[in-house]
Amino acid sequence: MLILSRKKGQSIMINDDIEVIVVSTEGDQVKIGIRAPSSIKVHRKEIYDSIQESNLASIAPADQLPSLKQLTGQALSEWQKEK
Amino acid sequence: MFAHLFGKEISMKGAILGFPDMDVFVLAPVDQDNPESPFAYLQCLEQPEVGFLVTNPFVFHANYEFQLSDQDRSRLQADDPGKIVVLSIVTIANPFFDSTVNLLAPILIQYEAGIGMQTVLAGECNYTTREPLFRRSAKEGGEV
Repeated sequence: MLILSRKKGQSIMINDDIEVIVVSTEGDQVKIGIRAPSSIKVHRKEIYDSIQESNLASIAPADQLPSLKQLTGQALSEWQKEK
Repeated sequence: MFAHLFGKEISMKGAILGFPDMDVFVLAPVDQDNPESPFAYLQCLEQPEVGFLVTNPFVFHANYEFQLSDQDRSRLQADDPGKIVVLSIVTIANPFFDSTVNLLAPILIQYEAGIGMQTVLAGECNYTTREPLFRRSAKEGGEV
């Protein structure tokens, strides 16, 4: 991992089209600005972590399929009644 | 609802977050007797023990919407967005009526090319990984 020191207002360039700017610092909080083409996805890492967690928690082994048929069927008819 | 997708191999190339090694998935019916069921089963061919209950999110969240990024569109080789099927992973709860659905990171499948991915919607969206599937938790039901 590359580690750099920057002061407030200074930035780093990633390739020639992504700029990461240190906007301000306050205690242990750092405000960062990112200027990048719209094709670049920028997300907080917690978002990725939460999706990974959600995916892992959603694994439904194939041997559950017969019960899923029953559960989804029941829930659908209950849901349609309420709609 | 998904009949045209059943049995077709879909290459995810590790794009299901948390499963970087898994590529080929297949969609199977959950209820063969109900061709209109909004549910399906997405199973990994390489590791058959990994599978997800998925659903058509628009059935349960009629106002669900998001912008397809150019990057995703090109990864899916979808010159026509009409070729893309949107699925959401269900987190099964007990009772099943309290199950939730991941609207923050939908699965996109371009069925003609057999390419799929899980995408993360942009930061401005208000969707989470755990939206009520049937929009009525047991608690809300009790308060009515």
